[in-house]
Amino acid sequence: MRTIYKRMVSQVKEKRKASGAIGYVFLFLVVLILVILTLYLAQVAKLMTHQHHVDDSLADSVLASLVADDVYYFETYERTGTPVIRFKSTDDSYAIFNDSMSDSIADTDGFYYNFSFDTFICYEVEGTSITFTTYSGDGGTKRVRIGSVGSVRAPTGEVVRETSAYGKVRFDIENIIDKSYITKTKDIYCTLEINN
Amino acid sequence: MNFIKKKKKASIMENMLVMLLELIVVCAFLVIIFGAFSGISDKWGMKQAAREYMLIMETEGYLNATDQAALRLELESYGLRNISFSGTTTREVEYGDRIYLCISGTYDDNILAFTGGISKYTTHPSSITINRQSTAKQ
Repeated sequence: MRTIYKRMVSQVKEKRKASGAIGYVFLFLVVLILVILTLYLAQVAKLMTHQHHVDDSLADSVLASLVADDVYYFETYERTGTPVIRFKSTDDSYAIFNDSMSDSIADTDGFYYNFSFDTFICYEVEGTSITFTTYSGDGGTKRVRIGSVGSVRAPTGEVVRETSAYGKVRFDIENIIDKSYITKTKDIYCTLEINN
Repeated sequence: MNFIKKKKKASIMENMLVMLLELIVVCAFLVIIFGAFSGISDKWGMKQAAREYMLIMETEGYLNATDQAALRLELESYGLRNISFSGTTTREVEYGDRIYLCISGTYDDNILAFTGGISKYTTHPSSITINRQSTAKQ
């Protein structure tokens, strides 16, 4: 009788031990999953927010750089009846693009690494010819070329038919898992129009 | 036999305690998650408001008093306080000239703080600066 009682007590104890252990393991797994999920979701939300932010900033910066030579516009209109839109100064437009973009990304510290200005192109259409001024790299190495309407394409693939600008930036973002850098580029092509 | 019954009851209580602990941990994580996401959402909202008013400034050539008051209200709705527009272009400029929108203020990040083993939901003030520049297109 005593042996049976002892066996029963030990069985109950074993059961108790086992059920407790399952509870702790479950707790540990839930916490672990929640930690991983929280960190992952926070990083994804941050990543998506910054992706939208860089897209918006790039569009705003290229649009900011589109400053037409208003004097030349009215002069050509009075002289020929067809106004010509050209940049007031391509150098100034490049500087505006750089400064505007730099301001926009300044408040995203710790997200973009090795941010650089890849290319900025000003396309000036006059009649059938296009003058396109390219600024490359962070130093803004300038190169001016001439083409004809229909034969020049922006790097985004569009055929250039109007005075316009193209901007491209390059940056690294940090991989969530192994902290390595992933290089990303963003570009946009915008045309310059004047409302009458 | 009574002893065995008592032991069984204790085991149920222990499991309940574990479950209660789990519930507390889950609640704590939910607080952290919502705190983190509301912070991201508010900051994104502030940036979008700045962008919207920068576009208005482009067409006006500056940030007028009415727009400034409206922007202040919008930023306050995202939790920004002590707002300053120092450095912002508030006088009309010529076509093609640069215009600046400079916003600074304090934002309270919601965090779960642990002090002496007791956790509490608290705020951590952080300084927010939003600087944008463009050109007048009016």
